Amino acid sequence: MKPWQSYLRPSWRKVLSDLIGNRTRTLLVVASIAVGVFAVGMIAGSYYIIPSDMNDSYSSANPANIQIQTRPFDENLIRAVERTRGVSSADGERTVSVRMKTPDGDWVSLSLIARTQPFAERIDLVKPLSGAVEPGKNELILEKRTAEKYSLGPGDVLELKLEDDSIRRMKIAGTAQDLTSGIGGMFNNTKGYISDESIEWLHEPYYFSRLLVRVAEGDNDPAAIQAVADNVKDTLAKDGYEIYQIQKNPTNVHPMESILQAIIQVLLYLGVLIVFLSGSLISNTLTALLNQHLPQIGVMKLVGAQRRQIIRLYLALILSFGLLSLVIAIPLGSWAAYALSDFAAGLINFPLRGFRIVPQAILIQIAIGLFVPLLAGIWPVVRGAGVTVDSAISGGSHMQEAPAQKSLVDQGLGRLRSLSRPLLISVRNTFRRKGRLVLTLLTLTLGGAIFISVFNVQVSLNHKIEQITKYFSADVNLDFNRPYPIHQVTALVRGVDEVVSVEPWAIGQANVLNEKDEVVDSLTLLGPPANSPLVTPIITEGRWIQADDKNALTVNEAFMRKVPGLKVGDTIRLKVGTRKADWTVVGIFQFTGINDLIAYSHYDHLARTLNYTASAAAYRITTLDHSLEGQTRLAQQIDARFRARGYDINSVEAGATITNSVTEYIGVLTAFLVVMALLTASVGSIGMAGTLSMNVMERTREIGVLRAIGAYDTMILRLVLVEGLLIGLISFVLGALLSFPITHVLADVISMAIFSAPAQTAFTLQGFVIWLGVVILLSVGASLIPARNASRMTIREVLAYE
Amino acid sequence: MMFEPTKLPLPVDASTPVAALTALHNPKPLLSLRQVVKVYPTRSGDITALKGIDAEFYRGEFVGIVGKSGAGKSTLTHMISGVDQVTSGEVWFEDTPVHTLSEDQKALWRGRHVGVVYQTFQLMPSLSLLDNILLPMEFCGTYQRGKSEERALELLRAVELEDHAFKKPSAISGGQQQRAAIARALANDPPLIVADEPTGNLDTATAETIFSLFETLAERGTTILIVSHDRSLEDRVSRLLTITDGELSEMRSLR
Repeated sequence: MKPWQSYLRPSWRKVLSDLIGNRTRTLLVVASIAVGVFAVGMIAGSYYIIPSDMNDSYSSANPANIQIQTRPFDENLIRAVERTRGVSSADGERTVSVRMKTPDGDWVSLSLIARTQPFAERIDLVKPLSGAVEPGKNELILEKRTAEKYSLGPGDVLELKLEDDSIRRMKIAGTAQDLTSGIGGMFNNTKGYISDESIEWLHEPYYFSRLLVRVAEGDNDPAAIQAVADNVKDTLAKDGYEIYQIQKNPTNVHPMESILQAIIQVLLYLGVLIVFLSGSLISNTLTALLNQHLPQIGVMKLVGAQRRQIIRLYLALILSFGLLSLVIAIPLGSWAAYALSDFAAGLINFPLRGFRIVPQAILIQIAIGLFVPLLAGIWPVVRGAGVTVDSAISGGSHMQEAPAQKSLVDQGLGRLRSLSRPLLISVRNTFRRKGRLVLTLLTLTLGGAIFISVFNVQVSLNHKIEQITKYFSADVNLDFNRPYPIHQVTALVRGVDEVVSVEPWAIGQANVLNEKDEVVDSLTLLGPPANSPLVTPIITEGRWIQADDKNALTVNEAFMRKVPGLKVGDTIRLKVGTRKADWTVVGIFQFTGINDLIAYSHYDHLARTLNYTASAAAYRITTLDHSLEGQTRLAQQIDARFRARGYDINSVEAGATITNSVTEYIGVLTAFLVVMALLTASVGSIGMAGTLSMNVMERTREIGVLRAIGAYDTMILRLVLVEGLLIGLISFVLGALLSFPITHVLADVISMAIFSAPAQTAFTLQGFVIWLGVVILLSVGASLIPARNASRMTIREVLAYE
Repeated sequence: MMFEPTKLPLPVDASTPVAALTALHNPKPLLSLRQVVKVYPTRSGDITALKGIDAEFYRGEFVGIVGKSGAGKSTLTHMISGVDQVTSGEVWFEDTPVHTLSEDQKALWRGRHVGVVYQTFQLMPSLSLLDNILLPMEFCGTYQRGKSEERALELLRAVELEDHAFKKPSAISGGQQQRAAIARALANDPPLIVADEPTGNLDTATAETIFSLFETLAERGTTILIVSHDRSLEDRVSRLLTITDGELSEMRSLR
């Protein structure tokens, strides 16, 4: 006895001895508690860190409360808006699209953002990271991601190719981080900042196209922002400006917050599930521990212990397990929470305030680490402490009460006569402790179901992306700044090798008007040829556009939200260019669920409405090679061909660029889910290892008897392995079945978060096959150690086992 | 070295042989069994292990209960020590109706008044011998740091195990474990010791030591009830009961 132990009462020395006397068991229980506590710590920590740091950085960036896309304007409009009631400040933004030569010699698109306000006072502040805070004339500040991606920094000189193919060399004065970009910033992040003095040097006319406004009062109040937005709309209308797009954001909420919250919410649900699983695992282990300790409980009662004293001792033991798990899980959870937050910060582009302990997360961890084991252990403890001295000491070998009738499972097992004797023993052993089997199956089944579901969710989300690409099937999107004759463009495009088809599209912005002809919203009008193979719409109501349609629209489901009660056959009043007219809704199509209004009309009619005559500003091109590389190559060829002939190109983009970015983003999301799935799987595997060890440990004497009557080592090994495999396979079948509803729920929740629309659930064999392999490996692995131990013990050792 | 039972710490209320003798002649029994019946329901029907046992045991008596395997010996010790509940009948310990006590009340009563010794020792494997002896004192509220440890060491010294006080039961021999179990049974100075086949797992020399220990305890006023299937017990006890098929069929005083 160590000196400090002498200060403990004998009963507490027993608790201590139970804790350190059987290290494997302690490790098993502590690990099963720690997994759950760790998961909750990680998720709860990031749940507090991410939104708080993200919103703080956003608020500190003086973000625009109102952003309006309109036709080109100059500083006069900015001044007019600044004088509008409720406006605190306003600024114009202009994005100059150029291409920059990377250090590897490739030419990539670069957006150069110019503003009128000085950097330190502007709306949508950027956080200076290195070098100059403000770009001088003909200098640029490079955004963090671009600087990191291409390893560029202050002092480097960029070679830029302008719209007219002339070359400019621009010095990087510094780097800065964009704190205000929403989801769009995640996919279009090659950018830099220039002073408005540099616009003309880049061979661009001096104008702005995006208006940024901050409200004077109530910048966190959506109603106050809306009121100011209405005033600004009036100011714009007075000067004849149409609104193409308007966005409103309160200062204290990052535009990405709702998406992120939803994703963390999903992780939180999974964390709770892991806690639940680890709870059932703890209950299993503690039941086994109490069974093993029954003789000791009997002895304690024999020498005078009352039930409450025994309950107190074992609850203290459970609390000690909880405390040990907290020692492991709290630091690991805090670290993982910060790592997860850092990952999210990198993805969304905001700075973290630095590593910190989140007291709320730790309190939750402490509550879970202590409360869940107590909750899981209270029943086994109360039951164990209630056992009579006689049955505890005799291990039930005295004459027992007549048991109730055999269960259905036992009756079924009794009928299994065709199996070989050893196999029969394994099967019966599997079902011997039914309560333990149920809890083990529960953990493994749920772990497996989530594991399989994660793969299915990934496929479902990819389906969603495919759904988006149904509307954007072109391999190359060629957009000009003004319409060009179709025959000219088509001939030039067809001159490029591998081009299969070219389609002219009419694309325009329109305003939605109310009964008084006031602008209430804006929408994007898309006009592909009536039978374009590049659009495969998912029609939910009505029909798709037809060649003989006039003033007919097929609208996206966002209309249903913005115009409640809208149905096929209704009319909407639109202002397209200067023309006001009623348009009939002939169909509703399902898109991603975004809130922006999109409507399709066919090319011929829309082109006429937009005053295009046999010309178009947008062309959609297909090729034989649909890979991103093939598309990019073709885009470069087309770009070169048209630029060489002096066409005013807005952009030439490979079709797969955006979908690839979204897929990458979803890949990141599913990586989070896979981590959670692995955590649940690890709870399951700890559970299985524990159950099998406990089963074998309790049956040590029986194994001795089997060996005494001739069972050889391999047979004993096989008995335990078959038992493990049986548990694994049963859990696999149940998990596979359960994965269907879980996939559905998970995919829906995530899809709603990202696309604001439910997912179309899809399934892949991949998850099922991988989990089957994992389960078999787990079963064999978890059985192997107890099986080897059992087969190695001598008959004398085994029969003497207490 | 041969064990010397005279070194045993004395029971509180029988500090001299005279006191023990007085106790022996006290007409009020320490323990009374009245028409005790124990029935075990089994799948193949009820089995009556005890069929209306009547018996009285007095202070300082050294009683042997012998019988064949399955005769009901162990069941009888369980009824006496309150380890199991009677089906019908009464068990009185002085003025305490043991048969009416709850499990917890019985545990406390047993801890304070009855020391139970089993053939398989039933020591706590995770605790040292010293802790095994301290545990009943703690559970029964008689534990006082320092004093209790002093007494536990005294008991271990009396059973020649002082040097092994901090060892776990698995580190000592069967005979030593049984002596430790007896020391534990004496921890709270109980007036009654019930021993179920206490020498069943021991060699003859060690068994002799254990019997000597019980004799000394009985001489000093502790009532000893030993259950055994070993007829050699007859020569050592003051009274012998024979149990056959759940009935005390023979009862005679040997000394």
